[in-house]
Amino acid sequence: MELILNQVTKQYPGTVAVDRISADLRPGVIGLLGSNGAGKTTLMRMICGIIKPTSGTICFRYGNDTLNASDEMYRDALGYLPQDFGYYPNFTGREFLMYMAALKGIDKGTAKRKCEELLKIVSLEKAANKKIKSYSGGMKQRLGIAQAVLNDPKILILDEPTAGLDPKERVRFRNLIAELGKDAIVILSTHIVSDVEHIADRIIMMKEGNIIFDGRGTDIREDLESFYLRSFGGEEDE
Amino acid sequence: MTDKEIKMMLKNAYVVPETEKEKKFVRKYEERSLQLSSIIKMEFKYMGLKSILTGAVLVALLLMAAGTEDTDMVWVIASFVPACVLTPMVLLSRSERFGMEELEAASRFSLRFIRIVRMFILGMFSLVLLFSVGIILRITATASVMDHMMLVVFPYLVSAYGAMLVTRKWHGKENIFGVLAVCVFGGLLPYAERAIRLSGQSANNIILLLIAMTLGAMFRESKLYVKESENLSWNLS
Repeated sequence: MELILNQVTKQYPGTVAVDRISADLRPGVIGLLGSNGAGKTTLMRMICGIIKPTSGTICFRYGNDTLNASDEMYRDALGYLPQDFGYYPNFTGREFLMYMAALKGIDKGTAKRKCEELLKIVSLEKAANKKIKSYSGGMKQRLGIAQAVLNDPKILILDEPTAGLDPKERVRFRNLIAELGKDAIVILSTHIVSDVEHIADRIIMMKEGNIIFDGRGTDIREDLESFYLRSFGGEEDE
Repeated sequence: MTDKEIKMMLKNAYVVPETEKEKKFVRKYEERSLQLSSIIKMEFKYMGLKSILTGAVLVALLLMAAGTEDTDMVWVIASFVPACVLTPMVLLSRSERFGMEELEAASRFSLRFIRIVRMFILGMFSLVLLFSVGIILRITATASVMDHMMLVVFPYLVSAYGAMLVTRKWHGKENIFGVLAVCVFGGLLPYAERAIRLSGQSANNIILLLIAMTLGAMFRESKLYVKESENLSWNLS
Protein backbone atom coordinates (compact mmCIF):
# COMPACT_ATOMS: atom_id res chain seq x y z
CA MET A 1 0.00 0.00 0.00
CA GLU A 2 1.47 3.32 -1.03
CA LEU A 3 0.45 6.81 -1.92
CA ILE A 4 2.40 8.13 -4.87
CA LEU A 5 2.85 11.81 -5.59
CA ASN A 6 4.39 12.37 -8.98
CA GLN A 7 5.59 15.87 -9.93
CA VAL A 8 2.54 17.42 -8.27
CA THR A 9 2.24 21.13 -8.99
CA LYS A 10 -0.38 23.71 -8.16
CA GLN A 11 -0.06 27.06 -9.78
CA TYR A 12 -2.13 30.17 -9.28
CA PRO A 13 -1.82 33.43 -11.14
CA GLY A 14 1.45 34.94 -9.98
CA THR A 15 2.35 32.15 -7.56
CA VAL A 16 3.31 28.49 -7.43
CA ALA A 17 1.77 27.07 -4.27
CA VAL A 18 3.23 23.58 -4.76
CA ASP A 19 6.15 23.02 -7.10
CA ARG A 20 6.75 19.58 -8.68
CA ILE A 21 6.59 17.52 -5.51
CA SER A 22 7.24 13.79 -5.76
CA ALA A 23 7.10 11.27 -2.92
CA ASP A 24 6.16 7.66 -2.18
CA LEU A 25 4.29 7.48 1.10
CA ARG A 26 3.89 4.20 2.93
CA PRO A 27 2.04 3.24 6.13
CA GLY A 28 3.26 5.19 9.12
CA VAL A 29 3.04 8.70 10.46
CA ILE A 30 4.44 11.27 8.06
CA GLY A 31 5.01 14.67 9.62
CA LEU A 32 4.64 17.49 7.13
CA LEU A 33 6.40 20.52 8.54
CA GLY A 34 6.55 24.00 7.15
CA SER A 35 5.84 27.59 7.95
CA ASN A 36 2.56 29.25 7.05
CA GLY A 37 2.32 29.61 3.29
CA ALA A 38 4.76 26.77 2.60
CA GLY A 39 2.14 24.91 0.55
CA LYS A 40 1.21 22.22 3.09
CA THR A 41 -2.52 22.85 2.99
CA THR A 42 -2.59 23.02 -0.81
CA LEU A 43 -0.74 19.72 -0.99
CA MET A 44 -3.13 18.15 1.53
CA ARG A 45 -6.13 19.37 -0.46
CA MET A 46 -4.72 17.88 -3.63
CA ILE A 47 -4.08 14.57 -1.87
CA CYS A 48 -7.70 14.63 -0.74
CA GLY A 49 -8.85 15.25 -4.30
CA ILE A 50 -10.71 18.44 -3.48
CA ILE A 51 -8.52 20.60 -5.67
CA LYS A 52 -6.96 19.45 -8.90
CA PRO A 53 -3.21 19.72 -9.45
CA THR A 54 -2.15 21.97 -12.32
CA SER A 55 0.14 19.13 -13.35
CA GLY A 56 1.35 15.84 -11.93
CA THR A 57 -0.55 12.88 -10.53
CA ILE A 58 -1.60 11.53 -7.17
CA CYS A 59 -2.54 7.89 -6.87
CA PHE A 60 -3.06 5.27 -4.21
CA ARG A 61 -1.65 1.85 -4.99
CA TYR A 62 -2.73 -1.27 -3.20
CA GLY A 63 -1.81 -4.68 -4.49
CA ASN A 64 -2.10 -4.56 -8.26
CA ASP A 65 -4.71 -1.82 -8.35
CA THR A 66 -4.14 1.89 -8.61
CA LEU A 67 -6.69 4.52 -7.65
CA ASN A 68 -6.60 8.14 -8.70
CA ALA A 69 -7.36 10.93 -6.26
CA SER A 70 -10.61 11.71 -8.09
CA ASP A 71 -11.96 8.15 -7.75
CA GLU A 72 -14.86 7.39 -5.45
CA MET A 73 -13.02 4.34 -4.16
CA TYR A 74 -9.99 6.49 -3.35
CA ARG A 75 -12.18 8.77 -1.24
CA ASP A 76 -13.60 5.69 0.44
CA ALA A 77 -10.12 4.98 1.77
CA LEU A 78 -9.62 8.56 2.89
CA GLY A 79 -10.06 10.31 6.23
CA TYR A 80 -9.58 14.06 6.32
CA LEU A 81 -9.43 16.72 8.97
CA PRO A 82 -9.06 20.14 7.35
CA GLN A 83 -7.21 23.01 8.98
CA ASP A 84 -10.09 25.46 9.25
CA PHE A 85 -13.43 23.92 8.91
CA GLY A 86 -16.90 24.63 10.11
CA TYR A 87 -19.80 22.56 11.32
CA TYR A 88 -23.49 22.85 10.85
CA PRO A 89 -24.13 24.53 14.17
CA ASN A 90 -27.61 23.12 14.65
CA PHE A 91 -26.42 19.54 14.43
CA THR A 92 -25.64 17.75 17.66
CA GLY A 93 -22.29 15.98 17.88
CA ARG A 94 -23.99 12.66 17.25
CA GLU A 95 -26.04 13.95 14.32
CA PHE A 96 -22.89 15.39 12.77
CA LEU A 97 -21.11 12.05 12.95
CA MET A 98 -24.15 10.25 11.56
CA TYR A 99 -24.29 12.77 8.70
CA MET A 100 -20.63 12.21 7.90
CA ALA A 101 -21.13 8.45 8.16
CA ALA A 102 -23.97 8.66 5.64
CA LEU A 103 -21.72 10.59 3.25
CA LYS A 104 -19.04 7.99 3.72
CA GLY A 105 -21.54 5.29 2.80
CA ILE A 106 -21.49 3.52 6.15
CA ASP A 107 -24.72 1.66 6.89
CA LYS A 108 -26.89 2.93 9.73
CA GLY A 109 -26.21 0.10 12.17
CA THR A 110 -22.45 0.25 11.79
CA ALA A 111 -22.53 4.05 11.82
CA LYS A 112 -24.40 4.13 15.12
CA ARG A 113 -21.93 1.74 16.71
CA LYS A 114 -18.90 3.56 15.38
CA CYS A 115 -20.26 6.94 16.43
CA GLU A 116 -20.80 5.77 20.00
CA GLU A 117 -17.32 4.27 20.19
CA LEU A 118 -15.63 7.30 18.71
CA LEU A 119 -17.58 9.73 20.89
CA LYS A 120 -16.20 7.84 23.86
CA ILE A 121 -12.66 7.89 22.52
CA VAL A 122 -12.72 11.63 22.02
CA SER A 123 -14.50 12.11 25.37
CA LEU A 124 -17.60 13.66 23.88
CA GLU A 125 -20.16 11.06 24.94
CA LYS A 126 -21.72 13.42 27.50
CA ALA A 127 -21.92 16.27 25.01
CA ALA A 128 -23.09 14.06 22.14
CA ASN A 129 -26.64 15.39 22.21
CA LYS A 130 -25.68 19.03 22.57
CA LYS A 131 -25.64 21.28 19.55
CA ILE A 132 -22.22 21.89 18.10
CA LYS A 133 -22.63 25.64 18.41
CA SER A 134 -22.34 25.18 22.17
CA TYR A 135 -19.03 23.27 21.85
CA SER A 136 -15.66 24.78 22.73
CA GLY A 137 -12.87 24.94 20.13
CA GLY A 138 -11.20 21.84 21.57
CA MET A 139 -14.47 19.88 21.53
CA LYS A 140 -15.05 20.80 17.89
CA GLN A 141 -11.53 19.71 17.04
CA ARG A 142 -12.06 16.36 18.77
CA LEU A 143 -15.31 15.89 16.88
CA GLY A 144 -13.40 16.61 13.67
CA ILE A 145 -10.87 13.94 14.58
CA ALA A 146 -13.69 11.46 15.25
CA GLN A 147 -15.28 12.04 11.83
CA ALA A 148 -11.90 11.61 10.14
CA VAL A 149 -11.47 8.05 11.43
CA LEU A 150 -15.13 7.08 11.08
CA ASN A 151 -14.56 4.97 7.95
CA ASP A 152 -11.33 3.24 9.11
CA PRO A 153 -9.28 5.20 6.57
CA LYS A 154 -6.17 3.87 4.90
CA ILE A 155 -5.02 7.38 4.13
CA LEU A 156 -5.54 9.78 7.00
CA ILE A 157 -4.86 13.45 6.31
CA LEU A 158 -4.69 15.72 9.32
CA ASP A 159 -4.08 19.40 8.72
CA GLU A 160 -2.98 21.17 11.92
CA PRO A 161 -4.94 18.68 14.03
CA THR A 162 -3.77 19.91 17.41
CA ALA A 163 -4.90 23.50 16.89
CA GLY A 164 -7.25 24.42 19.70
CA LEU A 165 -6.40 21.43 21.87
CA ASP A 166 -5.04 21.93 25.36
CA PRO A 167 -1.65 20.32 26.26
CA LYS A 168 -3.27 17.24 27.81
CA GLU A 169 -5.50 16.67 24.81
CA ARG A 170 -2.52 17.20 22.57
CA VAL A 171 -0.63 14.34 24.22
CA ARG A 172 -3.66 12.06 24.03
CA PHE A 173 -4.12 12.93 20.42
CA ARG A 174 -0.50 12.17 19.59
CA ASN A 175 -0.91 8.68 21.09
CA LEU A 176 -4.01 8.16 19.02
CA ILE A 177 -2.20 9.20 15.83
CA ALA A 178 0.73 6.91 16.60
CA GLU A 179 -1.69 4.01 16.99
CA LEU A 180 -3.46 4.79 13.71
CA GLY A 181 -0.14 5.14 11.90
CA LYS A 182 0.71 1.48 12.46
CA ASP A 183 -1.43 0.35 9.55
CA ALA A 184 -2.46 3.44 7.64
CA ILE A 185 -0.71 6.27 5.85
CA VAL A 186 -1.14 9.16 8.25
CA ILE A 187 -0.04 12.56 6.98
CA LEU A 188 0.08 15.08 9.76
CA SER A 189 0.66 18.65 8.72
CA THR A 190 1.80 21.13 11.32
CA HIS A 191 4.17 23.97 11.97
CA ILE A 192 4.64 22.82 15.57
CA VAL A 193 7.70 20.59 15.72
CA SER A 194 6.80 18.94 19.03
CA ASP A 195 3.60 17.56 17.47
CA VAL A 196 5.54 15.25 15.19
CA GLU A 197 9.04 14.77 16.53
CA HIS A 198 8.19 11.79 18.74
CA ILE A 199 5.59 10.02 16.61
CA ALA A 200 6.55 10.66 12.98
CA ASP A 201 8.27 7.82 11.14
CA ARG A 202 9.16 10.22 8.41
CA ILE A 203 9.51 13.98 8.27
CA ILE A 204 8.87 16.06 5.18
CA MET A 205 9.71 19.75 5.38
CA MET A 206 8.25 22.21 2.91
CA LYS A 207 9.27 25.71 2.08
CA GLU A 208 7.80 27.90 -0.67
CA GLY A 209 6.09 24.94 -2.32
CA ASN A 210 9.18 22.70 -2.38
CA ILE A 211 10.37 19.82 -0.24
CA ILE A 212 13.56 20.89 1.52
CA PHE A 213 13.94 17.77 3.67
CA ASP A 214 12.53 14.26 3.39
CA GLY A 215 13.76 11.59 5.76
CA ARG A 216 13.59 10.07 9.20
CA GLY A 217 13.84 12.25 12.26
CA THR A 218 16.89 10.22 13.27
CA ASP A 219 18.62 11.24 10.03
CA ILE A 220 18.91 14.70 11.44
CA ARG A 221 21.96 14.92 13.63
CA GLU A 222 20.82 17.89 15.58
CA ASP A 223 17.63 18.52 17.52
CA LEU A 224 14.64 18.57 15.11
CA GLU A 225 13.42 21.91 16.37
CA SER A 226 16.83 23.56 15.89
CA PHE A 227 17.05 22.03 12.41
CA TYR A 228 13.58 23.28 11.61
CA LEU A 229 14.33 26.78 12.85
CA ARG A 230 17.60 26.86 10.95
CA SER A 231 15.87 25.66 7.76
CA PHE A 232 13.34 28.43 8.02
CA GLY A 233 15.86 31.07 8.95
CA GLY A 234 14.35 31.60 12.39
CA GLU A 235 11.08 32.79 10.91
CA GLU A 236 9.02 30.47 13.12
CA ASP A 237 8.33 31.00 16.77
CA GLU A 238 7.31 27.44 17.49
CA MET B 1 -8.90 8.43 30.64
CA THR B 2 -5.42 6.90 30.56
CA ASP B 3 -3.40 6.23 27.44
CA LYS B 4 -3.86 2.51 27.96
CA GLU B 5 -7.63 2.88 28.04
CA ILE B 6 -7.56 5.00 24.92
CA LYS B 7 -5.50 2.36 23.13
CA MET B 8 -7.89 -0.38 24.25
CA MET B 9 -10.92 1.56 23.03
CA LEU B 10 -9.18 2.43 19.84
CA LYS B 11 -8.43 -1.20 19.16
CA ASN B 12 -12.11 -1.99 19.49
CA ALA B 13 -13.33 0.99 17.50
CA TYR B 14 -10.72 1.27 14.82
CA VAL B 15 -10.70 -1.68 12.48
CA VAL B 16 -7.11 -1.83 11.33
CA PRO B 17 -6.91 -1.65 7.55
CA GLU B 18 -5.88 -4.93 6.07
CA THR B 19 -2.72 -3.87 4.35
CA GLU B 20 -2.09 -7.25 2.74
CA LYS B 21 -5.67 -8.31 2.26
CA GLU B 22 -6.79 -6.11 -0.53
CA LYS B 23 -9.84 -8.24 -1.30
CA LYS B 24 -11.27 -7.38 2.07
CA PHE B 25 -10.97 -3.71 1.25
CA VAL B 26 -12.82 -4.18 -2.02
CA ARG B 27 -15.52 -6.22 -0.28
CA LYS B 28 -15.97 -3.53 2.37
CA TYR B 29 -16.16 -0.90 -0.36
CA GLU B 30 -18.85 -2.83 -2.17
CA GLU B 31 -20.84 -3.32 1.02
CA ARG B 32 -21.01 0.41 1.57
CA SER B 33 -23.97 2.00 -0.08
CA LEU B 34 -25.46 5.39 -0.40
CA GLN B 35 -27.79 6.40 2.43
CA LEU B 36 -29.83 8.65 0.14
CA SER B 37 -32.89 8.79 2.39
CA SER B 38 -30.72 9.79 5.37
CA ILE B 39 -29.11 12.61 3.40
CA ILE B 40 -32.40 13.97 2.05
CA LYS B 41 -33.97 13.75 5.51
CA MET B 42 -31.08 15.64 7.04
CA GLU B 43 -31.15 18.26 4.30
CA PHE B 44 -34.86 18.85 4.81
CA LYS B 45 -34.38 18.99 8.53
CA TYR B 46 -31.71 21.59 8.09
CA MET B 47 -33.93 23.86 6.02
CA GLY B 48 -35.10 24.86 9.48
CA LEU B 49 -38.54 25.43 10.93
CA LYS B 50 -38.28 29.23 10.62
CA SER B 51 -37.40 29.05 6.96
CA ILE B 52 -40.18 26.54 6.18
CA LEU B 53 -42.75 28.56 8.19
CA THR B 54 -41.77 31.79 6.41
CA GLY B 55 -42.26 30.07 3.08
CA ALA B 56 -45.58 28.58 4.23
CA VAL B 57 -46.87 31.98 5.44
CA LEU B 58 -45.97 33.59 2.11
CA VAL B 59 -47.69 30.85 0.18
CA ALA B 60 -50.76 31.06 2.45
CA LEU B 61 -50.94 34.83 1.90
CA LEU B 62 -50.73 34.33 -1.83
CA LEU B 63 -53.40 31.66 -1.82
CA MET B 64 -55.70 33.83 0.29
CA ALA B 65 -55.21 36.72 -2.09
CA ALA B 66 -55.75 34.50 -5.06
CA GLY B 67 -59.04 33.47 -3.49
CA THR B 68 -60.30 37.07 -3.56
CA GLU B 69 -61.47 38.64 -6.74
CA ASP B 70 -59.55 41.80 -5.98
CA THR B 71 -57.06 41.74 -8.82
CA ASP B 72 -54.91 44.46 -7.26
CA MET B 73 -54.39 42.21 -4.25
CA VAL B 74 -53.24 39.39 -6.53
CA TRP B 75 -50.61 41.69 -8.03
CA VAL B 76 -49.35 42.68 -4.60
CA ILE B 77 -49.16 39.17 -3.25
CA ALA B 78 -47.64 37.83 -6.47
CA SER B 79 -44.67 40.04 -5.72
CA PHE B 80 -44.02 37.98 -2.59
CA VAL B 81 -43.70 34.67 -4.42
CA PRO B 82 -40.05 35.27 -5.41
CA ALA B 83 -39.22 35.51 -1.71
CA CYS B 84 -40.18 31.82 -1.39
CA VAL B 85 -36.88 31.11 -3.18
CA LEU B 86 -35.16 31.86 0.12
CA THR B 87 -36.46 28.62 1.65
CA PRO B 88 -34.64 26.14 -0.60
CA MET B 89 -31.80 28.57 -1.31
CA VAL B 90 -30.74 28.29 2.32
CA LEU B 91 -29.71 24.74 1.44
CA LEU B 92 -27.78 25.58 -1.71
CA SER B 93 -25.20 27.73 0.04
CA ARG B 94 -25.22 25.77 3.25
CA SER B 95 -21.84 24.04 2.94
CA GLU B 96 -19.99 27.25 2.09
CA ARG B 97 -21.76 29.34 4.72
CA PHE B 98 -20.75 26.92 7.45
CA GLY B 99 -17.35 25.95 6.06
CA MET B 100 -18.27 22.28 5.54
CA GLU B 101 -17.40 22.07 1.87
CA GLU B 102 -13.94 20.56 2.38
CA LEU B 103 -15.18 17.78 4.64
CA GLU B 104 -18.04 16.98 2.30
CA ALA B 105 -15.86 17.10 -0.81
CA ALA B 106 -13.44 14.58 0.70
CA SER B 107 -16.20 12.11 1.60
CA ARG B 108 -16.98 9.16 -0.57
CA PHE B 109 -20.29 10.56 -1.79
CA SER B 110 -18.72 13.97 -2.07
CA LEU B 111 -19.94 17.54 -2.37
CA ARG B 112 -21.02 16.89 -5.95
CA PHE B 113 -23.62 14.40 -4.76
CA ILE B 114 -24.79 16.73 -1.98
CA ARG B 115 -25.21 19.55 -4.47
CA ILE B 116 -27.25 17.33 -6.78
CA VAL B 117 -29.51 16.41 -3.84
CA ARG B 118 -29.93 20.10 -3.00
CA MET B 119 -30.75 20.98 -6.60
CA PHE B 120 -33.31 18.19 -6.56
CA ILE B 121 -34.91 19.63 -3.42
CA LEU B 122 -34.93 23.13 -4.97
CA GLY B 123 -36.55 21.74 -8.10
CA MET B 124 -39.22 19.80 -6.23
CA PHE B 125 -39.99 22.75 -3.97
CA SER B 126 -40.36 25.07 -6.96
CA LEU B 127 -42.55 22.66 -8.89
CA VAL B 128 -44.90 22.09 -5.96
CA LEU B 129 -45.09 25.83 -5.21
CA LEU B 130 -45.70 26.98 -8.78
CA PHE B 131 -48.11 24.17 -9.58
CA SER B 132 -50.24 24.66 -6.47
CA VAL B 133 -50.35 28.45 -6.90
CA GLY B 134 -51.33 27.93 -10.54
CA ILE B 135 -54.18 25.60 -9.63
CA ILE B 136 -55.54 27.95 -6.96
CA LEU B 137 -55.34 30.91 -9.31
CA ARG B 138 -57.25 28.99 -11.97
CA ILE B 139 -59.95 27.78 -9.59
CA THR B 140 -60.53 30.84 -7.43
CA ALA B 141 -59.42 33.94 -9.25
CA THR B 142 -60.31 32.93 -12.77
CA ALA B 143 -56.81 33.87 -13.76
CA SER B 144 -55.59 32.59 -17.10
CA VAL B 145 -52.56 30.36 -17.56
CA MET B 146 -50.79 33.35 -19.05
CA ASP B 147 -51.53 35.43 -15.94
CA HIS B 148 -50.01 32.67 -13.85
CA MET B 149 -46.95 32.58 -16.07
CA MET B 150 -46.48 36.33 -15.95
CA LEU B 151 -47.36 37.01 -12.33
CA VAL B 152 -45.95 33.99 -10.60
CA VAL B 153 -43.72 31.79 -12.74
CA PHE B 154 -41.56 34.40 -14.43
CA PRO B 155 -40.67 36.46 -11.31
CA TYR B 156 -40.03 33.26 -9.37
CA LEU B 157 -37.74 31.81 -12.04
CA VAL B 158 -35.80 35.06 -12.34
CA SER B 159 -35.32 35.10 -8.56
CA ALA B 160 -34.29 31.44 -8.48
CA TYR B 161 -31.77 31.96 -11.27
CA GLY B 162 -30.36 35.11 -9.67
CA ALA B 163 -30.12 33.41 -6.29
CA MET B 164 -28.31 30.42 -7.84
CA LEU B 165 -25.88 32.75 -9.58
CA VAL B 166 -25.19 34.68 -6.38
CA THR B 167 -24.75 31.45 -4.43
CA ARG B 168 -22.24 30.08 -6.90
CA LYS B 169 -20.25 33.27 -7.33
CA TRP B 170 -20.31 34.49 -3.75
CA HIS B 171 -19.27 31.88 -1.23
CA GLY B 172 -19.30 33.75 2.04
CA LYS B 173 -22.04 33.91 4.62
CA GLU B 174 -22.88 37.32 3.21
CA ASN B 175 -24.32 35.82 0.05
CA ILE B 176 -27.69 35.79 1.78
CA PHE B 177 -27.82 39.58 1.24
CA GLY B 178 -27.23 39.06 -2.46
CA VAL B 179 -30.03 36.49 -2.56
CA LEU B 180 -32.33 38.91 -0.70
CA ALA B 181 -31.56 41.63 -3.24
CA VAL B 182 -32.40 39.24 -6.06
CA CYS B 183 -35.71 38.36 -4.35
CA VAL B 184 -36.57 42.06 -4.06
CA PHE B 185 -35.84 42.47 -7.77
CA GLY B 186 -38.03 39.44 -8.54
CA GLY B 187 -40.75 40.92 -6.37
CA LEU B 188 -40.76 44.10 -8.47
CA LEU B 189 -41.25 42.25 -11.74
CA PRO B 190 -45.06 41.85 -11.41
CA TYR B 191 -45.29 45.63 -11.09
CA ALA B 192 -43.23 46.10 -14.22
CA GLU B 193 -45.56 43.73 -16.02
CA ARG B 194 -48.54 45.61 -14.65
CA ALA B 195 -47.13 48.88 -15.97
CA ILE B 196 -46.73 47.30 -19.41
CA ARG B 197 -50.33 46.06 -19.34
CA LEU B 198 -51.69 49.41 -18.19
CA SER B 199 -49.94 51.06 -21.09
CA GLY B 200 -52.10 48.90 -23.29
CA GLN B 201 -49.30 46.73 -24.66
CA SER B 202 -49.01 42.97 -24.50
CA ALA B 203 -45.80 41.42 -23.32
CA ASN B 204 -47.04 37.84 -23.41
CA ASN B 205 -44.76 36.61 -26.17
CA ILE B 206 -41.74 38.36 -24.72
CA ILE B 207 -42.46 36.91 -21.27
CA LEU B 208 -42.74 33.39 -22.68
CA LEU B 209 -39.45 33.87 -24.48
CA LEU B 210 -37.85 35.20 -21.30
CA ILE B 211 -39.18 32.23 -19.31
CA ALA B 212 -37.57 29.85 -21.79
CA MET B 213 -34.31 31.79 -21.63
CA THR B 214 -34.37 31.84 -17.82
CA LEU B 215 -34.96 28.09 -17.73
CA GLY B 216 -31.98 27.61 -20.04
CA ALA B 217 -29.82 29.85 -17.88
CA MET B 218 -30.93 27.94 -14.75
CA PHE B 219 -29.97 24.65 -16.33
CA ARG B 220 -26.53 26.01 -17.20
CA GLU B 221 -26.15 27.43 -13.71
CA SER B 222 -27.09 24.07 -12.14
CA LYS B 223 -24.41 22.35 -14.21
CA LEU B 224 -21.77 24.89 -13.21
CA TYR B 225 -22.82 24.68 -9.56
CA VAL B 226 -22.40 20.89 -9.55
CA LYS B 227 -19.18 21.01 -11.59
CA GLU B 228 -17.59 23.57 -9.30
CA SER B 229 -17.70 21.03 -6.46
CA GLU B 230 -15.06 18.95 -8.25
CA ASN B 231 -12.38 21.58 -7.79
CA LEU B 232 -12.64 23.92 -4.82
CA SER B 233 -9.85 26.22 -5.97
CA TRP B 234 -11.82 29.28 -4.92
CA ASN B 235 -11.58 27.94 -1.41
CA LEU B 236 -7.86 28.63 -1.17
CA SER B 237 -6.88 31.54 0.96
